[in-house]
Amino acid sequence: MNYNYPNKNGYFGEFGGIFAAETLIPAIKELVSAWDEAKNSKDFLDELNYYHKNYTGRPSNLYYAERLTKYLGGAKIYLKREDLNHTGAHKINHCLGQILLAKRMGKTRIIAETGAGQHGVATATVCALFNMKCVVYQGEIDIERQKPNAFRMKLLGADLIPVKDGSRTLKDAVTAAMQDWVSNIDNTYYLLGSVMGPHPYPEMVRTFQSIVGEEVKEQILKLENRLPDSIVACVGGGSNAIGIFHPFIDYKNTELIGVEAAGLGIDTKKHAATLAKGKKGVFHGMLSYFIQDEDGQIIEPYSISAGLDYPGIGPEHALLRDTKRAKYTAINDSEALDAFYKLSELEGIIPALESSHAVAYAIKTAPKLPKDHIMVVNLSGRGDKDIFTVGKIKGVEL
Amino acid sequence: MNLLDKTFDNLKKENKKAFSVFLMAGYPDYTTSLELMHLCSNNGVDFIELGMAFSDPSADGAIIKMAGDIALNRGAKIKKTLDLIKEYRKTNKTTPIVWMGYFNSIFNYGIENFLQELNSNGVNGLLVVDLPFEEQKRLKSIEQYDISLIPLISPVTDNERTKEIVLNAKGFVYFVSIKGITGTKEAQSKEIENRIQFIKSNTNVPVIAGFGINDAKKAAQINKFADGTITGSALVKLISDNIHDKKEMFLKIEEFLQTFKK
Repeated sequence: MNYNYPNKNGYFGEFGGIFAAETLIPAIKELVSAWDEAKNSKDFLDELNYYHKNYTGRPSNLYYAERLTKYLGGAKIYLKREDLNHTGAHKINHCLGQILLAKRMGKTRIIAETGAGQHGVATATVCALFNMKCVVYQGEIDIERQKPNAFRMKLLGADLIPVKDGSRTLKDAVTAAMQDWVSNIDNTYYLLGSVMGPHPYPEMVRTFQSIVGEEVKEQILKLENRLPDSIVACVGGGSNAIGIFHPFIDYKNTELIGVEAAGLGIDTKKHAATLAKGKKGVFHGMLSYFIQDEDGQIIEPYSISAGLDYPGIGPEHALLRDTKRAKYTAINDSEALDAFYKLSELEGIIPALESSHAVAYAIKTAPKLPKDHIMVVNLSGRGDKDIFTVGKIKGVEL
Repeated sequence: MNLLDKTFDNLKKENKKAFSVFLMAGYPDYTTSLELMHLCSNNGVDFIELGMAFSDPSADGAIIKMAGDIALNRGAKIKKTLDLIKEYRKTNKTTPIVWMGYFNSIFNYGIENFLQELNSNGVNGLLVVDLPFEEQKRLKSIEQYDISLIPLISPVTDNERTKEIVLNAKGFVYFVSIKGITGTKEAQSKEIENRIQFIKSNTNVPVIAGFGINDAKKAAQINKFADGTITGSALVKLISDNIHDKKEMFLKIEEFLQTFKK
């Protein structure tokens, strides 16, 4: 493989690194060495694969969306069915990896942040499975718009703590989790939910998520005897996108497309399109792009989808964008909502509002592409959790 | 000579410990914030740690965050904080000021411009909470100026790393007395004694403790081994508790500051 980021200090080109208060540095360094050791350990990887297969139900299907393809009349669309994983999204992939690492490090208490609740549910799930104490931080607004997941986390035995600061969404949940970590570093493992934060998280979460792209590679070769022309994934922090992109980075003929949340439109103040509208900054432990004002104050983002409602993006996406290896675009709330309905009606698959952004991009672009164009869309999660949000918008009482 | 060094030299000659406070620039508003700076320096505060508000202050607890939010709502900006310092310096040229902030503000402002303006407005020290030792080379050009880049040591920084960090320390070493964020826990003098003594055996600059030092009694305990203390959240809370009566606020603060000098 030619592509070889990050470097040993956790930099993807100029992005990434470790930016944290001194109290966290020893804990981060401990994590770096534990991770460096685990990623090369056969026992560790064997155990992880055991759970991927027997607990999560991997590999997830690569499904030819025939009706959607015919309806759009252009590119041939495959869906990578991460929604079929146990807990209903790709988040379980990095949760299993990290809980095994936490166990290996002798930690007894797990903390996590969550936006849409998918990462929180997956974290609570692996904590139940491995009998660890679990504390999840979620913005008050996100708890409200993702009620089913909030209840699931509690059911799984997690302590769900509503975050009442700032925009009361994902950004504030990350900050609260980091503050918890600083205050309880002796026994606590911070199980971060995306390819963001200080090194080694972006690299570690990417490695755990890369199983998605590795499977796609194998599956598409069997189905089509060639690699796809394009791969589409939604991007908040960027975990599902990196997972499906990373194994294809060296295959330059496969176009990689990340879809950010345009909210009410990227020319309004209500969006979460970090790469479209952000500038370089240092926040939540990393150097990357952030939505911020001229004085470097972080601006509260907005998206219909709680999982994309984040003002930053993982450092590797920043590199892939700036080196033009991946292309990033944005889909607004109403386009995502239409895709939510369209996929439900045409394929009998209710996508998460996050994944609906990727589906919407396919709906928008596939008609203009030739029929032999193979497009893989990462269906990162299922939409059961979103029925209340969508119901409310459509005026349906649930 | 840097004003911080001068201040510490004088304190040493008099065999006194340094007493410092944290104030949030622009809290509760620009004018009061300037008056508070003077009030502090007129009541025995040896140097001022002046905070630049950040939207998401990861190292700060609820009290300082609240003050920062209010400051930002009332228009706190990097430029305005620089103006505040300039105005303070018109009448006070002796009390050192340490700028405390988060790296994103500096990064965004432009590192070179920022440092130059700190210098021209009369700042003597710079403390960047979320810029670890390994990344401090980003602020290398601070060496051109008479500004000390203040290193932070936490209770969990091990011996080897501590030695590395304090090796070329200037101004003072900031010892974070608790494992946590500001205003949440009380510093435990027994636990930190060894750490501070270890730092002192590896550097000649003073070791000043902050985080978890909420009153004069606590400061006195810590001063048995530290060279001084910084009180933040307790003072900010006093401002907040008396926010609707400035006269009362100043009176209470004066009383509070005086207890530290006894």
